[in-house]
Amino acid sequence: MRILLCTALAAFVLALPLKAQRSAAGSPATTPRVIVSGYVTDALSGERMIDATVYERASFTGTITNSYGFFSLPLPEGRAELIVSYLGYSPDTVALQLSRDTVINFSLRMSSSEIDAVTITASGRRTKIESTQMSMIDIPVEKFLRLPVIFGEADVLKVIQLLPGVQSGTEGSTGIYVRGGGPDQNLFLLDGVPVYNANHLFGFMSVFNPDAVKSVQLYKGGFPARFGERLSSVVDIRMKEGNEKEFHGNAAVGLISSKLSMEGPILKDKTSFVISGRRTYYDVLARPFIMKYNQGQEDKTTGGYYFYDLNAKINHKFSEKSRLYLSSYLGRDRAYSRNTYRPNYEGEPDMRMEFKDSYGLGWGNIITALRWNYLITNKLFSNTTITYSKYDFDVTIESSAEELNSHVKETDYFRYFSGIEDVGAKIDFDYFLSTRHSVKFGTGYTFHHFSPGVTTFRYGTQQPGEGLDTIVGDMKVRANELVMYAEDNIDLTSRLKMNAGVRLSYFNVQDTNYFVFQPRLSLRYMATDDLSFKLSYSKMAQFVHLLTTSAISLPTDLWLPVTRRYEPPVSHQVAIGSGFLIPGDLEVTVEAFYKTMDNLIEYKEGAFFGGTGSGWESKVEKGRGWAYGAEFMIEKSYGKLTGWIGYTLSWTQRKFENLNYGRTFPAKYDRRHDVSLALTHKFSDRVDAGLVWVYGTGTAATLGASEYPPGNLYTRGSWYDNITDFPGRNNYRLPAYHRLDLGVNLHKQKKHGLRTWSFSVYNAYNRLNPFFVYWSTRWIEEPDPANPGMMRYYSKPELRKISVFPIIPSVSYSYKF
Amino acid sequence: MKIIRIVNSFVAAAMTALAIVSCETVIDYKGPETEPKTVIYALLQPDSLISVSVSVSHSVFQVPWEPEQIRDAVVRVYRDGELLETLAYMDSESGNDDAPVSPYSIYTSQTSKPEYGHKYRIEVQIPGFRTAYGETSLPAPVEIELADTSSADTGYGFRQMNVKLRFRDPADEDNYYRFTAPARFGIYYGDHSQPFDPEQKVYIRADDLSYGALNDPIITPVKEDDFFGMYLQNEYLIFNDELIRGREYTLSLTYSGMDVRTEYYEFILALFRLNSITRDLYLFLQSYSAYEQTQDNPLAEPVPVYTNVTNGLGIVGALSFTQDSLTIGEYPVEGVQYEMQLY
Repeated sequence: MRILLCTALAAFVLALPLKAQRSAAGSPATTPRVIVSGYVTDALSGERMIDATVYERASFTGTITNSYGFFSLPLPEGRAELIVSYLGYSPDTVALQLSRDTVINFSLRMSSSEIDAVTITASGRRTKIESTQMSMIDIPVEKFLRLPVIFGEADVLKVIQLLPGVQSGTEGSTGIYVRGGGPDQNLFLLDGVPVYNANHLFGFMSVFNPDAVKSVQLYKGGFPARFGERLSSVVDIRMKEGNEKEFHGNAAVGLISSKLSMEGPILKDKTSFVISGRRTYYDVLARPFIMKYNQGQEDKTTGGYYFYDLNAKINHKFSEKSRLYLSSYLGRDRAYSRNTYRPNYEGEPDMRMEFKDSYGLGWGNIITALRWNYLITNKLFSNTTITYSKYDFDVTIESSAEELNSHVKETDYFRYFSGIEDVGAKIDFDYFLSTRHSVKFGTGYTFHHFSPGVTTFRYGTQQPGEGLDTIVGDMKVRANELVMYAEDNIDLTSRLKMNAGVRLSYFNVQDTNYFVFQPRLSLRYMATDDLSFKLSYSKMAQFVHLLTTSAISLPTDLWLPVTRRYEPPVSHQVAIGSGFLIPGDLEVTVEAFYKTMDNLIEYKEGAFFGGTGSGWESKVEKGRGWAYGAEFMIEKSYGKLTGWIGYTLSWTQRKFENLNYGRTFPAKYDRRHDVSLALTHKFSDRVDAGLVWVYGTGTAATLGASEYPPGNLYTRGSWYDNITDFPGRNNYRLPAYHRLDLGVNLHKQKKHGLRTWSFSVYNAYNRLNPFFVYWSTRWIEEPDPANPGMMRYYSKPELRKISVFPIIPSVSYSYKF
Repeated sequence: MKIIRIVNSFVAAAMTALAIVSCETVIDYKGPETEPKTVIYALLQPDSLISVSVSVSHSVFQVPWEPEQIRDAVVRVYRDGELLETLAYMDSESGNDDAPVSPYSIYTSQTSKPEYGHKYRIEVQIPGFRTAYGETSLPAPVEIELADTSSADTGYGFRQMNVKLRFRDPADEDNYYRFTAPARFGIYYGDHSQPFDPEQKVYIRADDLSYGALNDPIITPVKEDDFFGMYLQNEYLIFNDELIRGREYTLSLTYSGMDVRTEYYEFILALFRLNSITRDLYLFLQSYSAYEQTQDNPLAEPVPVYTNVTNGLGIVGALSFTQDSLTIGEYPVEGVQYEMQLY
């Protein structure tokens, strides 16, 4: 039945272009047409510009560049006036006399003119309203650098948390919860390659270095068929390609880390590179103090934490039609502690022992993508990618005892390792059939290699025949994933536009096969030139689970494949919305959504950590969830003052047969109201400032306020240890969260570059937001009313709130050359 | 559990670092007031008079809390919908010096013992409280037999004893079990390098040998290589028939370090019991065990303890058991002095 449906849908999709061209008698489709195609790039760097608008004034037709800066626009023969525009850049206008297919490339220059902003409004902003794509936000990269954030560390995910429909997790963390979905339901793509763990510093920073990022798009719904494999969101991050024309760099020193970026041509206008790296340095700075502390001590201890990451990319243009990219990311977090002890055995000079203990905890990602863009015809663009992604986490413990005179040594070694490794290949096509009809289609294959938990255990001894060297839990799981998709963007009428697509996913793991048919549909109706209404439906499936503690995000979270017992989670989401312009250069977006999620898993009650792969299925429960709500956003993208204000009203609930007695309960991150205000103001070329204010009603926690004696009949509990009565899972609401961040950037043009001092204050009015709450007790001593003259003593319960980030000023220095 | 320790230590270090910039404040509890509820504990067994323990829950803000006996509750027992008996209040045993009053008020039957094939309802009415009730039936017992015992010398005078118990799970229903093994040990504290001194006593100590089943896969289904220690201990040795439906199963018990010096009239009298318990009792024990093991862990999701009491808390459960015995040594022996060891 599914095969029949797919065949019918494929036939429908392929027949549409013929229908679209035959149906409109007397329409521009019957006039001889030529194809105008080419690339839009940044004039200074040569970077390809994504979603730049190419608009023909006379025919009122236009298009946008694809993810690689390519556009293709069928136009009638004769005179044409093309306007190419992009946010923050001066538009370029070219008059052409078209008599045949034409290839023309555009280079845009950055602009600070308000007149240009008006011109952009006419074409660029209309494209956004006209697009069928809804529930997608394109975040300008400069926002990451201008908005104030904690410790002055610009972060992609921290800015995404300010958008409507996106909840943050715990205070300071980079976890995102999109339209009721959990942290494992977000697909992070770095140049098209999935990133499994996007966290540094236990979740306080993300792995995405803003200096290496060119564009960020967040999809919350209305997912085009080219995206899949996660239920709730896609964060599509594209790296810079490197300046083709000149060498440039940027160095920055901050409170947490320092960064260095370099980019430039290897062969001018043909080959360029970009490389960005950063590292924390508290472990280095603390080392002298630790060494000083250890002086004269028998027991010497050292420890620390650091992370580093490195982004590198090189691209080469073979011709106007062919281009090759190689991009890589490497990042690692490491926490460690070492102790060396040499006891002083007085009176026993022959006895010299050294005891060493070392502990290490580390996690990291390696990502590589090799891409080849090829322009098959001026209508058909292809992108072929080979990808590699690896995430791993390991804990090592080593203890040794060595007799220093004889150098006889015994060592105990323990290592726990967990990881996931993907190798894949895919090919994607953009087919620009006409101004009213464009098709994207493609296919891909991924080989997954899961290592849910491997333990190496070595125990050494001096006794012959004793000792142990073994590996347990070595349960590697291999899986194959095959994907095909097709999506068609078509103008059904002059006002009604549709993007219809289907994604077919096949997943094979061990002896289990899953085939999931995922239809997608988006509709846009133009009520007026400045007002559109949109409707979308998406079915999404994912083939991996992330077992995570419900309390906090840790690198110990395990990625595991679906199994026969636990089927792929599936979501259905319907969204409706509208976009329109209002006076003051303001864009308003209003959306409402309803989403259901099935085959979700959570740990059984009482569980608190991810485990090894063996037996995990017996430790989790299966259930479902749903979320619904409305989002409002007013955005100003042009002028000296830019930014947005967003508001979300939402409900997120879960129901598991064996949790909470089978009753529905709110998800931990169910937050009823969420407001965010993000503004930047450019006072002059030398000074700009940013402001962020967020407010959210309290998230949920499980708290009980009554207790009762344990049973005396059958259990071992003492009736001093009362049982807490929890009315229900996540029954309690934490206090509301709100804070204000302020920042100012002072620029000064120097001889060889631009230096910037950035000052910011996180949580400017020192709001003590809740990190978590817990019951504690306070000892009371007071006169006993029943016995005058006597005292009575008892414990009184107190609800205590832990807040982690009070007002935090920060400063950083950067130099761009 | 090494990984938990090391990861916890790093998390603790990170939390400590955060504590430098964090602070703690006392806030008002702004949750719904929870009205006190009736708490019922009742465990029906064949050949035992019906006994019900009654208490009440209280707000955590009710401090200082002093337990009180509830003498005016009306506790009724219904069998198949018909009133069987109204139970009489009995004075409970007093507690220790710290809390002289027991929170458990005991109501017992003078005549009624539960029987198979009937549905029992325990209903408790306390003035000022909603009437609370729970229902249960006696589960059918499942025969267990001692299939095999063996022992091996592990050195240093100790022996490892292996015991196998066999039973067949009924195929036509869901069954829930608990394994217990009350035992008595006779221990001679005299000089083991000398012959038995008749003036010395052999002390009899009550013990529990159920721990020997902890390594059986039906008791502890997770392998020991689960170094993450994600599983909770099956403290009450409960299991269901999901893996053994309708089949014969042999429970393996292992005891290490056993040292029974029969020449000193030491002995072990063990009763291996297979308790058939109700599903409600199974869920109660499972959740209570999880609650106990995680209540002090800030990273664990709190565990609500299961209850089948409507308008109240606690558990109304039932069990029946069969047992087989194992005797090592001889007891009693004429001429040997015995004394109960109470600690």
